[in-house]
Amino acid sequence: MRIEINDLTKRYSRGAVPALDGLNLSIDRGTFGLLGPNGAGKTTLIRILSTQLSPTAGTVTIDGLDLSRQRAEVRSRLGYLPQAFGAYPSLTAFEFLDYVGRLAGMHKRRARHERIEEALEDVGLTKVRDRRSGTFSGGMLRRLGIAQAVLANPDFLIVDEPTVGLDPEERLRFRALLSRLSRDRAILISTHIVGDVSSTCEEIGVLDRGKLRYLGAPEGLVSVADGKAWEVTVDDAGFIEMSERFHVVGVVPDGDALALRMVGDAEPPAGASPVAPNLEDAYVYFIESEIDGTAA
Amino acid sequence: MSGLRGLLSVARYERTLLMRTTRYRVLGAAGIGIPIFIGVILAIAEARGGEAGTMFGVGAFVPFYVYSFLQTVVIAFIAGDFRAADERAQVYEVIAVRPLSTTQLVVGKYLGILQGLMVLSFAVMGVTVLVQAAKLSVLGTPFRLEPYLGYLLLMNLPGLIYMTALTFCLGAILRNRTAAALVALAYALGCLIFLGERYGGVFDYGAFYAPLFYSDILGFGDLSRVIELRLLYMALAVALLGLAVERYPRLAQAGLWRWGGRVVALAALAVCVGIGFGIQRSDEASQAERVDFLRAHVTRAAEPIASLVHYDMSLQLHTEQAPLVADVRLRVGNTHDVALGQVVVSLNSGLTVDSIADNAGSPLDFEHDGSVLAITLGAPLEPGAETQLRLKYAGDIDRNGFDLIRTAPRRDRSDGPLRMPQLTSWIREDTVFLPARAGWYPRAGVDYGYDEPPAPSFATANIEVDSPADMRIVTQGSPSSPDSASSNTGSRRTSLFTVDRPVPVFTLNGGRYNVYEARIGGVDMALYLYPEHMTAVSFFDDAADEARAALEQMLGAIVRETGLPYPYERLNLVEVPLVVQWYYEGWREAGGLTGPGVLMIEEDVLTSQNLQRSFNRRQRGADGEFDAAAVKRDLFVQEIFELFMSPESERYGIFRSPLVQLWSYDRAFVGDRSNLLERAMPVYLQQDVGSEVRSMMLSGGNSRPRGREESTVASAEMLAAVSDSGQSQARTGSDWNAVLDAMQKETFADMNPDADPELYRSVVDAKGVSVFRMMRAVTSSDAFVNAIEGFAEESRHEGVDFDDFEAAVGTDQVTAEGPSAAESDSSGEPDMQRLVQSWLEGTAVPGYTITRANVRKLEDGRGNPVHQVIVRVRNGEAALGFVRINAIGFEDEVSKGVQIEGNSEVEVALLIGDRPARVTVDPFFAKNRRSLVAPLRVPDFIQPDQPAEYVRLVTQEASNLVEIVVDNEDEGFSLPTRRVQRYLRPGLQGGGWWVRSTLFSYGRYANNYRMKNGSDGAEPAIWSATMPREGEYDVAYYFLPEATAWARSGVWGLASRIELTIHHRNEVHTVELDTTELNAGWNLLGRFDFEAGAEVRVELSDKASGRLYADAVRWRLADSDLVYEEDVSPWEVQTGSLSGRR
Repeated sequence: MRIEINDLTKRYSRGAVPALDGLNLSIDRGTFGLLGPNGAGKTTLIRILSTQLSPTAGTVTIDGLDLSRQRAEVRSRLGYLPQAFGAYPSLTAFEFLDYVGRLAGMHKRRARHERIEEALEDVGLTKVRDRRSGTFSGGMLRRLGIAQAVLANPDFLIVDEPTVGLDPEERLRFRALLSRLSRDRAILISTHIVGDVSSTCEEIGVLDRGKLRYLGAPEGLVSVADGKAWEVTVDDAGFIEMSERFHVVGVVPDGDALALRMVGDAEPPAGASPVAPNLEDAYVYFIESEIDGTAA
Repeated sequence: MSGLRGLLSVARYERTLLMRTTRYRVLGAAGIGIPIFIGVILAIAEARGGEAGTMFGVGAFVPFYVYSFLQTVVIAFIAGDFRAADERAQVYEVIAVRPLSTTQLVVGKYLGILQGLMVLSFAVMGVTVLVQAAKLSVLGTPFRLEPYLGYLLLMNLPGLIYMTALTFCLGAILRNRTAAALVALAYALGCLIFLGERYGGVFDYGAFYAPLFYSDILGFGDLSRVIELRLLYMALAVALLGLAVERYPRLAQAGLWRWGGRVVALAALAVCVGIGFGIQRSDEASQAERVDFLRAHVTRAAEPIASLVHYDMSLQLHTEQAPLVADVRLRVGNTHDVALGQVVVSLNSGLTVDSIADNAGSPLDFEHDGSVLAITLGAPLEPGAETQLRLKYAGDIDRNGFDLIRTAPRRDRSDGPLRMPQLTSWIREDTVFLPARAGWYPRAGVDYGYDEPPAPSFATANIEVDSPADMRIVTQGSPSSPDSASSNTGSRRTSLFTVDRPVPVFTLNGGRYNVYEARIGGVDMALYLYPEHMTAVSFFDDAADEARAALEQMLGAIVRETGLPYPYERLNLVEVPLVVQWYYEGWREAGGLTGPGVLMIEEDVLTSQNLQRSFNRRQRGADGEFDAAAVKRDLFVQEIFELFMSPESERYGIFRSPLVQLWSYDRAFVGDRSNLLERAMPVYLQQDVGSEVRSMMLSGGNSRPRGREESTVASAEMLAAVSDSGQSQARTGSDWNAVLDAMQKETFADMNPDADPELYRSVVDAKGVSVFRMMRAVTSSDAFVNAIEGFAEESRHEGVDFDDFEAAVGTDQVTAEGPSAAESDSSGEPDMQRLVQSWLEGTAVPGYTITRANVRKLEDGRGNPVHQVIVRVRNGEAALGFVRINAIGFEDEVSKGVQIEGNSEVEVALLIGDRPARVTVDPFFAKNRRSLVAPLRVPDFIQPDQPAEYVRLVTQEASNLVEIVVDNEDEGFSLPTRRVQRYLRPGLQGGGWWVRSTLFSYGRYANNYRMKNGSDGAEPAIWSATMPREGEYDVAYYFLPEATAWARSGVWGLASRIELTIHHRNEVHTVELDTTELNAGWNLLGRFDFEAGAEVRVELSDKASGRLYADAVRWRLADSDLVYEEDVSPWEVQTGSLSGRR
């Protein structure tokens, strides 16, 4: 399984700033995390990859299938969990999956039903298979979403903001599920929650203003921020000063003072202690530096 | 294949989703509930003796109609929702990335919704079938499934398919669920309410206005046009669906689906346009053909008409060669002064003439142009001579070839795609329906184009009909000989008829009838009944003798009362399919279903009579002994009267009256006033004679003396027939006010019958029937009946005009009945010729008021008390009037016909031995709608005077009636209205006082009135007048007759108390009335003193809790001699028993 993206450009209207600007990317089997701030072009890329949108220029091939020309074939190999996923509230989990399975071309009844049971088992919804989805919690609905996305055993799974709205426990379960699924297919996770990719992705891409700013292993991105992450305890005035000089990643109240975690190129203040950067520190450092034009 | 599976998958789940919605469940509940509800309502209506239509498709039609109507409206909300529902459920993106095309998605969703709604349709059909089948099994009537399937396939499903597609298309174009639903809803309602019947029904997408009443005899009839239009709508549905797919932009799709869908949609559009053009071209062609046919008639109208005096017809029905094969020998006479070179006859354009030969068998030249056949004789036919022609023709009836002129209202209803005259005549394997006008045999002359319609030919005939063996034939005449009239040879049967008594027209009916025959009163009576409708006949099996005796008695009574013996040896009553009568409307066509010796009855008429239930009811209500046969006899008589002799305003009127046969088929009516004899005389016979015979039969068979003249109350029934009742309006087309207006604008002679045929017909009824009633009152009943009898005898088979009839009645020789006129002055004696002249030729209509009614108790010279009833009647209009004044005692009654000049008053004295209770005045032709009534108070003492009867003119001085009536339409009536209210609600005329008119009104007051809900007293109704003379006046408030009943029953929320203030001599007097205590009509508010010239008024306050009515107020100069109560409640009249109105 290989997804090749070559010089992909998307403009929503003539003369407008491109939402994607000459993007080149290739994704192999495993989990690929797509990070980027709002407006970076993630959703546009996802829509193009999920065949809902046509590019202005460039090509996308999935295992050699041209996405623009062989849309139906691509769709049959594609699983997709949109960010705003819902199900018909009057259908049960089983019925909904049955409907989706039929639409995905699974016309053999027995095979389809077996696959539905597997998918329900995978996402832990077997017990509620006959409950109408209108009664599901957000987490159950999200799991139903992933079940429908993987129902037809797609080669390529696109998951858009998979953990938004989930509680921490659900989020962990979901990440584990994605990891399990990534063993035999390519998964593209588009998210702005760094934790989603740090725990699941072998490779990540950082998209900003339509261009791919980083492509590589998460560790590679982390190394960018080596020696740039600090922890310091300051008062309110100190917080304002640090916010101007650094990118504050975390703030924890400590009595009357504030314990800050921050990244940046500036000289650290007295009392600051260096810390090993994590992916989130690195992502913030990277993105903010990109905006400032100082990235490495 | 996989594409189709995807489509069906979408359909399957869309259906599931739809069926789980609340809207669907509500629609389902309504759909299932409708047939049950309607079934219950019909059953209740039938149990109460109503005519709800037990048989046929009616039980299926009504629920389907209502449900289909509801469904196509609800579709707008269900089908317009599909995209929005996906987006709302946030599943759209999931679906959009599946290997699915737009066509699959849209068509799948369409099919899903369609399936869901079809499930409901089938359920509704199932429930309807169960309800109807259960009901019919109780009634012992066979059940048929065809009508139900017919309605499902013709009405329900096409409407469903089309409206769903339309809503999808609107949804795809407008991309707004609410907008799409509203546009679809507006379209549906527009079609259903406004466009449905117009433009030939092309907007009737659900066949809601198509003539789809199922007939047991004929099924649905010719459905070709209905089916064509259904196909058009279904093709349009496919095209709309194609457009919906095209306009639905979200899913990219493969070329096959995209282009395949487009091709199918375009092909459907082409089919749709093709069908539309086909319909239009066919209609235009048939219209052009009809114009051409008409031209042929008009062209030949000036040619002299040869008399066709005898036919020898040999007919073969439904043969392999043609539906009708005829060999007709015609005896043709020349009654003109010139020799005839050609014989012009009418013959249906669908019949092809093979040959025409003369006496010697030599072929003759002929030209068959449309439905006009011109035969060139070998030698001219000399005046007075006769010859014989032999015509051979074959073919089918062209239903375009007759009935070439239609009046505008009729054209609106009967032209166009859905109203093609498919049920006007036909020849089928199982049934034949050939009324005379279809032109199935050669008829003398042409049908159109004459300045004055010529007198018809009267002809005898021998008719031989070869038909399929199971077909029974009905035509004029009797079977040639009872034993050998019909002979069966294998699959064919030959029937022979001899028509000895000349008839003007021939009709031919055939069908698989059961025949019931009996000789009653010297007439062979036969009932031809469809086998499935036998319950109506078998019910009388055990009362056959009683029914026969009743019929005999009735025929005798009819002959006695009309002076018209039944002219034919045989009377055939033949069932014909339901709705046939739709195509025979208008009074000139009233006889379309009636022929000499043949009365055609629609099949629902007999079978819808729920005799058993009526019988059971009577049985339950009987105290003690119950004579079942007598009750059945009564039911039989009642049925006969309802079916055949009801007044025209009720049910079918004279359409199938045997009285029409008695009068109309034995003579021809000519001259300017021919309509009076042709139309008004049968109406008069039907209403007056019929009602007399009816009351005689239903009151136990005790014939009363003719002098009683029980039912000739004014023009009451006839005027009721043209009053505002919806039913009668449908029948006559004109309401009484329009008739009155028309009569006062134009003389009868000046009226153009074609300008507004319905109005003309109503005027003929109003004037003609009144004239006959007046003639009868003036000449005495016996004399009038004798005159009719003599006239009928002398005019048999001849053309007669109204002058002949007047001469026969002797209008110039008669005097009033009652005592000698010696004691009276001449003013009140009727001059019948003048009255006839005045009413028929004038434009004024008399109107009457009783101005005085009192009694003197006298002694007759032999020591016996006698009562002298003195009545003054004023004719307040310019027209010459005639009334009958009746003094009515408890045992006895005396009457006198009196003529009253325009704008004058007569005083009439009548002597009656019995103690008189009231006096009534029957107007014959007047603005009054009913009789006037005044109660009488008999003094206790005998006055010393000579009893005398007289009629004298009351001079102006002697007339002491000073009366002012202000009606709600008069100038003195006002409704002070707040400006703002008028601005805000301009629909309100006069503020919150709505104008209403009433159905049962008579006299001028109750015609219409104002109505308002009680409020704060700011909007009173005010009646104002100027007093002409000083004195005490009785002030009265007119209370709507209906309102008395409403007030007493508490319905309609009538105000229980109302307040009126009377302004007099600068004082204000307030009267509070309890509406439950009010009389129908005038209610005295009190006696008040007024100055001459004073501006006075009466106010009805709107401060009340409940509804108020404002109609009229009267100030009448008080006169101690007078007791007035002249307007009897019509409710009393309506509910009076048949045998005694008073």
